Amino acid sequence: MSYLLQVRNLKKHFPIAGGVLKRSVASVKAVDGVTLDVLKGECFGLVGESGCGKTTLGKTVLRLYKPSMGHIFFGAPNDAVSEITNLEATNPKSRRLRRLREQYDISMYRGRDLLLLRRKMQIVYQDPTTSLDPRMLVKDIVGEPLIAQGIAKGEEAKKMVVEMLDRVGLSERALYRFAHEFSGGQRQRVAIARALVSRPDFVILDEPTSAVDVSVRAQLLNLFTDLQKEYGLTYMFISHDLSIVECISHRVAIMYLGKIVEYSTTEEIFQKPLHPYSQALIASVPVPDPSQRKERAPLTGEVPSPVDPPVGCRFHPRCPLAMSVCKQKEPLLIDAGNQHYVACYAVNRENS
Amino acid sequence: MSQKTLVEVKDLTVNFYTYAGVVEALDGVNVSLREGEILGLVGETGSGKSVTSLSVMMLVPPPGRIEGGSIYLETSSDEKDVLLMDDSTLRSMRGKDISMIFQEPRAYLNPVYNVEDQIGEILLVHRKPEFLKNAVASLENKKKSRTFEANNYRRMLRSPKSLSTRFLQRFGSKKNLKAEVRKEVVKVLKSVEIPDPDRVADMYPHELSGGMAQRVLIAMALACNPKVLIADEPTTNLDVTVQAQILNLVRQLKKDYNSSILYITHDLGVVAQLCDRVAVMYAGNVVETGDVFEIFSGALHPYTRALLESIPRPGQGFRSIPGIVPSLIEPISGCRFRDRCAYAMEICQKVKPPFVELKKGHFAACYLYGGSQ
Repeated sequence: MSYLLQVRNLKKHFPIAGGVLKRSVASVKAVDGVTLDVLKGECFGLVGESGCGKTTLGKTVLRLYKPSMGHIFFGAPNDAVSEITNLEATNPKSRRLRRLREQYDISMYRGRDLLLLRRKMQIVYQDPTTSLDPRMLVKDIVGEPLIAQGIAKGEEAKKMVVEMLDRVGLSERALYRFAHEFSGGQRQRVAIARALVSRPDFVILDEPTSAVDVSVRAQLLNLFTDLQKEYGLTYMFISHDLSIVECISHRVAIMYLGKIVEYSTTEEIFQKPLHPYSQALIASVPVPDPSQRKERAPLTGEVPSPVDPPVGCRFHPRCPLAMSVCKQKEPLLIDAGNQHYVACYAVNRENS
Repeated sequence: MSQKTLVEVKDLTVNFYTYAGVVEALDGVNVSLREGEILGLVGETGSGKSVTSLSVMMLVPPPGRIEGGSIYLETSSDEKDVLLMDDSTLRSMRGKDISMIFQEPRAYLNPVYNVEDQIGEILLVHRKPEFLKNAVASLENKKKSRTFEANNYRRMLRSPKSLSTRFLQRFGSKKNLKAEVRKEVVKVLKSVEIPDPDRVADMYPHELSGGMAQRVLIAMALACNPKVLIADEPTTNLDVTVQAQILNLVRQLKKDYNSSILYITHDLGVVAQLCDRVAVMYAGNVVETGDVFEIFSGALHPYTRALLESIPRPGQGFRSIPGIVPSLIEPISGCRFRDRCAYAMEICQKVKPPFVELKKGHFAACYLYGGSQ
């Protein structure tokens, strides 16, 4: 197994400007120390409630946001990653570390390096109505990455666009049409074609099916799995719909307030969730079977503000198992056996 | 069970006259809501769920027009057919006999008024005399029954529409009336399980989270204890954990007040968890209604079955319904589902299938079960 994407202690804080001088008075800690690995060719599910930072994490990984802290390695050799982590701990000011990071850590990339990186990483957004330019023809929308990347232009680009459109299930007739002329599902297909036309290795799917209907949703999800096999793609599937994530992902991470609280294979997460938040989240999903009714909401209260997250474990104000240690120290993400990582004192005794 | 029927929609037809052509949004819809039940109205975007519910309140926006059918509503007034009511009857019916909550709570709250003002407005529209009486009583308790304020309230009670009342009620303090209204607002907020209702009453919509705003909207809808509540996808934009809380609240309301709820959603999971009966809509028709257990275990209409199969289940892949929802401008003849249906027959192209009772309480509109005229 080789890793395509390795994220180490990634943070993204957005400053809040305040006062007369508009100085930064506080910051929204949207992503606050995330570590995760995505394997080549897998679909990595990222689940959490709105405002937990899953979209920010996705955008930061793509370098659409500049990370506040941390490393992102994309297709970097394992020994380089481990050398960087070692140097970071022992000799954070060494020139070797700086050179390695400039070479491998995409959080340091600038200019041309970043442009070349974009060819390899793409994103499909939630709502195609807003993510597609209403004044551009489909031909130009899908062809734009080719021209921007200098891959192809003119007739050659058009040929590639037609080929891609055909692959996502749109005919050549779509070329000279505008986004508003399509139905929601077809629009999302245009967005998928745009993401895949530059032949990326890694695609972030940011809630790609939440704006379409149930019957169309299944068509799109099937398309995603087919395309993944055909092009050998690696997905990061961001969603709040757990039933879809359960079906499409190989591994799943559950996020709460800027942190990953649990991650493992899909079966592990859904069959025996360990973190109390994951348990509550999975129990909240309405089961489409009237004989399995749950008459009680598993979780009370709401997600606290990421400006001033609770001290210690971020989930402790809502947690049924909260102990005194949870209010003081943040639990670490530790393997609870079987590659099942959990950040909870109640699960990992040795954590304290 | 011989429950009273509170809402009965019969052969409702609604058209929208757009520039692109006449959109036949509803084509003979039949739905009924009984006392003390939650009816789930399921369907995809554009199937006419929302138009059906808006028709019941006579709120179909132009260029839509109700073309035919009848809507019976159990009200406190004499007129029972919503389509024949005049404007003032409609106004007194909305909010008192039937009320509605919507998908995006913050879009339906006025951003420049706080929660107390917005809930108070409904209370004053429908239950003003009650509050006036209470205010007078509290003034009498304070030995201030001869003040201008108290007289003003009495005048408003005695002849609410007279010219002198309308002129004089603008003057003087209305502190006691406001205090009475606030008491009720806090009570209503408490009934929807809002923590710290006294503080929330002073908040503006932008200060509320999505779940909280939805609770406020529910509180507003329940302020006058309507018998019928229409919930139009109230949890679609909320997180699953908050959704579970709201569903719980709806269940509690049904238990406490024996209210009837028309719950519109496209999430079959929610339907299974919450509803007593289900009505499935497709392209402006109700294609099947029945008990929730019957629908989930033995659906009859091919569309309902396809919809149930499209629920993602791990290890089974994703089953989709081929084709797309048809355009409702000059819709196809006969059954509107026929070109996506695996069982389509010749007759499906010609005549629209009648909506018949196939088992007890289980209706469907499909030729698969006979009825070929």
